[in-house]
Amino acid sequence: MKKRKISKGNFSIISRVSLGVILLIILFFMFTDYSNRYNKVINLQNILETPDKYAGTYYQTSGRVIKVTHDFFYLLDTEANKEVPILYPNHNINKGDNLVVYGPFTQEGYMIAAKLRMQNSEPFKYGISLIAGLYFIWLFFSEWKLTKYGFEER
Amino acid sequence: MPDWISHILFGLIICHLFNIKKKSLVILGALLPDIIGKLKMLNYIFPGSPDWLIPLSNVWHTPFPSIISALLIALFFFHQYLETAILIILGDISHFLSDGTTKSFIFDGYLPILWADQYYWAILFFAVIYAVLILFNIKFVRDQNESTIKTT
Repeated sequence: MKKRKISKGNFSIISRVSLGVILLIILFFMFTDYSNRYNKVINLQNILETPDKYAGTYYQTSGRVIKVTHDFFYLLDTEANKEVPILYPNHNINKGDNLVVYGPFTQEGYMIAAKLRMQNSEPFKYGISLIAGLYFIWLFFSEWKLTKYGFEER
Repeated sequence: MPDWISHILFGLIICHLFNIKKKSLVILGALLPDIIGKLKMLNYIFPGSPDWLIPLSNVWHTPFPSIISALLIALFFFHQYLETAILIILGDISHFLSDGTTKSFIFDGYLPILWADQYYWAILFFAVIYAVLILFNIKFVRDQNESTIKTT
């Protein structure tokens, strides 16, 4: 009976598992270190929860406008999923606009828009990226097949 | 960031220039920082996602952890490990190079050429380069065939 070759690429299964564990440990430490720093440094959650501490801090946020009032509009930050009140009196902003906004936070907890840019084609970009993702899946599985030992060449 | 079509086209250009047969590995590397890095978008669809999601996504969309993850993913391929890892890392590098062209109000220090919503210029640019490379390749192969016919 033909014995299955399990050490393709000069790497035995044990070596692969050992290296995998080492790399996972490195990644874990990178993540925990960054995570600890992230919680201490400037992030949207910290700014909105303790605005007096971060008064004058410049920040860039991007997302969709969910509410527009006389002087303010409210942006739902895409990443943090937080509602950011933004002062922008000379506005021509509509509900549903996708924006990237840069400016300082005040001690009252709102942002003053110093720079602003429309990014209304952002959803379309994600749409075509989905098509690109499907192309990648097709390309990948035309070159590789999944076996119980991992991905093998077709 | 440019869209994924631009990332894929840039990866394909690299494959063409270096005559890489395993294109999918370079493309995997070219999309890898975004595949995991965009996990934070889940927060947009499912509000109340865990707090660690944003730091985790941010970590993955930085060069060094991305290279470590490429080394990790290469272990799942029963192919020459070093070759697999290098091809994925090559794709990774292409990702960060093309991301570096995106403008930001904060980081003006890279090559800020395009805003995120001007991605179609990136597609056009990479598509034209890729098309030119393919045309040159076709011409080169045709010229070689003709010279072979003449000598025989």
